[in-house]
Amino acid sequence: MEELKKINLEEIYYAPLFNKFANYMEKFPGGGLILTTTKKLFAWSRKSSLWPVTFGLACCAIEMMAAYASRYDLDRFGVIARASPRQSDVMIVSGTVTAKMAERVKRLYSQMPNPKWVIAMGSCAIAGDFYRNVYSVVPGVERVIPVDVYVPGCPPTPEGLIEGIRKLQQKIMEGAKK
Amino acid sequence: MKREKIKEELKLEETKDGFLVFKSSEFYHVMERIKKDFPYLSFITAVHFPQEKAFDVIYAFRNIDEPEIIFLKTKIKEEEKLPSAYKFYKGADWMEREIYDLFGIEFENHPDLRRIVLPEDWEGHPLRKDYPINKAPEKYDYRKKPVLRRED
Repeated sequence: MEELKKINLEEIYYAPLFNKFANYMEKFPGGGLILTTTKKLFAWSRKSSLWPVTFGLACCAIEMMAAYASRYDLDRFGVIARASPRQSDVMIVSGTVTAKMAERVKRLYSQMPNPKWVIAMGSCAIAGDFYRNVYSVVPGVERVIPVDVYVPGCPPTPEGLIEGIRKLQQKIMEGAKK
Repeated sequence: MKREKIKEELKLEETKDGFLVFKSSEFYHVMERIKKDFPYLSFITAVHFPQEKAFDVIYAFRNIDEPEIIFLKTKIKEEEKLPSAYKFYKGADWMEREIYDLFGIEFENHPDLRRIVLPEDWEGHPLRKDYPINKAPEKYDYRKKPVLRRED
């Protein structure tokens, strides 16, 4: 018990919170007080539970599934795949978007509640890759829905996707500072 | 082997690659005989020859009891129709729809002949050799559409 008291609570608990969104922090014996704006608080909660819609288009989806599974475990970042666009915040477009699928992608995107974000995963979703000039392929999902984060690679590794999600989290927090 | 037996019985020619060639006018007769020994339709595919204005339609059947495969081939003109194999093999339904979608070959007596891969209002049949690789109807040509940017 004596050892536990020696741990600096400020360092392990209050300091990260302060860095993330606090404007002002006051320490009391046995506790503390943080002042912030609701905008920052909401952004912090949103980025901590990004729920993607369960949605895979091509081979990138295999890497996405690997990122969800136990070895890489996206759950650590609060990322849990939801089976319905109505419960989702983020759409990971993982694979080639065809002209027929583009309408479905647009529809799924419009069914998601605001605020919503899009990650284009892999070179097909970014710009069509070498299917760019094929009759049935959309050259980049950005022609259908607006994209926030681009994750390059063919396909990107699970680490690459995690980096993309971390970048999206940074973007959400930076958006709250304005 | 059952393949040799069928070849003799129906008097089919064999190509160098091992395809048995039959006439499209004898379609029902040939299918009825093959169904007895090869109950599983593996796939149907086609090849377009633009100079001859003709298609080769290729069928592959498998025998479930003994490991054996048989390839059949028939040649039809572009404007000709081919009878549907749906009466003998229910699996032919979607395979023939795919051939119709990508090559434009029509199958007689097919229960539901519509496009299966491309949107229903697509123009043309992309796997024909005279189809340009990047031609798409105006509605589905996303190359000409603007790039969307988030406004906030």
